[in-house]
Amino acid sequence: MLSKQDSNELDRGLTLMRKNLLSTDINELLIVNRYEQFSVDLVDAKTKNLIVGLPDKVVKDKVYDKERLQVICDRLHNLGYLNKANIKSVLNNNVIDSALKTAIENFQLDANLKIDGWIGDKTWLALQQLVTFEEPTKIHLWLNKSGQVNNALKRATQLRLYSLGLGDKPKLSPTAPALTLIKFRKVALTLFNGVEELNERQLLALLFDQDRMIQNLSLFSGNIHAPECRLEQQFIIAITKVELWLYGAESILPDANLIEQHKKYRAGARRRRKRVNVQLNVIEKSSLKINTSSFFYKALNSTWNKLLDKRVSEIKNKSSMYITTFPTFFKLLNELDEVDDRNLIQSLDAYVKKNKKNIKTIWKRAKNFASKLFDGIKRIGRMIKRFLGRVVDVTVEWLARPFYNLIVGIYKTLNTSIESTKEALSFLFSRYLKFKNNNAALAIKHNDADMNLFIDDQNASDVIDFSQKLLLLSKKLKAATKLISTFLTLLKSAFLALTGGWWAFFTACVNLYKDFPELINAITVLNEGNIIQLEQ
Amino acid sequence: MSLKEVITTAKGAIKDLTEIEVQTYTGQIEVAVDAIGTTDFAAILESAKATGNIKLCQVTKITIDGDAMNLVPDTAPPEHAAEAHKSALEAGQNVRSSMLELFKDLIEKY
Repeated sequence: MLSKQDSNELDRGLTLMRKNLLSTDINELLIVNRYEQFSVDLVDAKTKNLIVGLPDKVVKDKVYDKERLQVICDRLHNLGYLNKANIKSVLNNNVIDSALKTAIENFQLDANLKIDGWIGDKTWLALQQLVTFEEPTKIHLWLNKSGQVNNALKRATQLRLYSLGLGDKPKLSPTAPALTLIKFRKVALTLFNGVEELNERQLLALLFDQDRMIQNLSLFSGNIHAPECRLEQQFIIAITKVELWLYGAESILPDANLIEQHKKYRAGARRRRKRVNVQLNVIEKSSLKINTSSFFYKALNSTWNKLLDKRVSEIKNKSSMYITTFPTFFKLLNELDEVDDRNLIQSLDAYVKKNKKNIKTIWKRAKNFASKLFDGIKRIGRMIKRFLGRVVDVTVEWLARPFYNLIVGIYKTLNTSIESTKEALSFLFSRYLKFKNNNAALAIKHNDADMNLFIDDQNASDVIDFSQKLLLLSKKLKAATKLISTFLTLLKSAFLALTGGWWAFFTACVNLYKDFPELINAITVLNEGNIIQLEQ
Repeated sequence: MSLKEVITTAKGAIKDLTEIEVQTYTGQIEVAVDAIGTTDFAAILESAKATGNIKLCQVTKITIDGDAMNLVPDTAPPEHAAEAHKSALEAGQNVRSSMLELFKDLIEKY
């Protein structure tokens, strides 16, 4: 049975598991469900006084709580130390009377324990080992100095055989019954392998090891349907009931109790007697067919239903013909025991550790994901930066190119203007005008702008070309003189500013602003067409 | 052209800016071309006229107040010759305008 510490640990583990139920592993979910069911069963069993925690180490006022007192009394009674009437008295008054104290002392004496009339740790554990089926009993602890089985174990053996349908219930007696394992040896020889060579102590060890017997039964392959196997059949029914009881079917009464009830109610109502008789028939005759109104049948149905995924009719048939199929039942139970509840805490611990590993794995994955996400963001950042850089570059290029073109244009314009101005001025001061590659016309220019024009009347196209160039050059001359005039005005204004004040310079600039369209027009004319080259 | 020549040209130009006269000759212009660079251009020109190699075909004279005189022979000059004469006339006006612009301060003073 679990101690309080184990119980608390189990509760904590279950809470943790519930929190981590996000797991998709079906096996883990099954384990968790089973643990949860176990926890519920544990509470239920405590409520029904089917199990009791370990005794408190500190004895308070030599008084047991009521549940513990009930269990102590029941166990001492089952071992033949305490009368049932005494139990009733003790429970009603909730005190340790002399009968109970004597019973405890007798048990302690038989079990080679310190005799103090109090159920402390050692006495409690001794009762636990001898009476319950949960843990295998260590036989060597129950031997006298001479190596003989002590009286406590003799009583426990009788109780165990009674529970397994192989003997009578221990009676209230100051002396222990004789140790007789004849029936058990016979049953064991039929049902279990390798029993021939077991001595008495080994046989006792087998009797007090429920799991080992179940395992042996699961491997059985013989035939027990013959009438001479009635004892074996009885044993199988009884051990099945014990097993079902251990699995929670607490309503199943030990067979011998039915016998007692039968005796008790022998003179009772006919109907009740009939019902009891029917149940007794099941046990006494060890019929291969089981009564469908018994708790055993219902418990079997329920267990088959849990163990097998079969139709209802098939399950009922299996329960009714239980003996013929009994190895199957134990095989299934044995498989079920692969996940041993005794290792519950260890399993739970392993589960928690595994989940811790999972958490580490999840954290690792999360870190990887975050790292990738961060890389992605960085990459996007770099792309945006590159894109913005490109936008800036293009924008700068778009702005710079026109600016550059403007500067170049201005430079070219000014340059062309200067070249054109030079050419135009040379036209002003030349005596004759003759253009390169044109021999069809010639102009003799006088100082006052009068002209003598000589043309070749046979070459019309060249003459026209000459006249166009002449006209354009004169226009450029006009524009150039305008620019020069403006420049001279500025120069004069600057000179005046230096000598007479900045107001004059400002006025000149304002006047220049008025002439601005004219200046632009002059520059445009100067840049019109190619530079006309005069032949010197 | 030296500075002295420029000043002389400017003086001459200013002196007779009041009118423009353009004379257009047709014929073999090699005579005129050959005469370039000679000191007595007018004499060579007269000689050419006399030999009949060059013939005056149109004369136009425009005064500053806008009065104009245009002399043309009985036989109309070729179209390209008339076009060239017109361009030379306009060029002459532009030159005069340029001179006035260039020396306007001087003109304003005197």
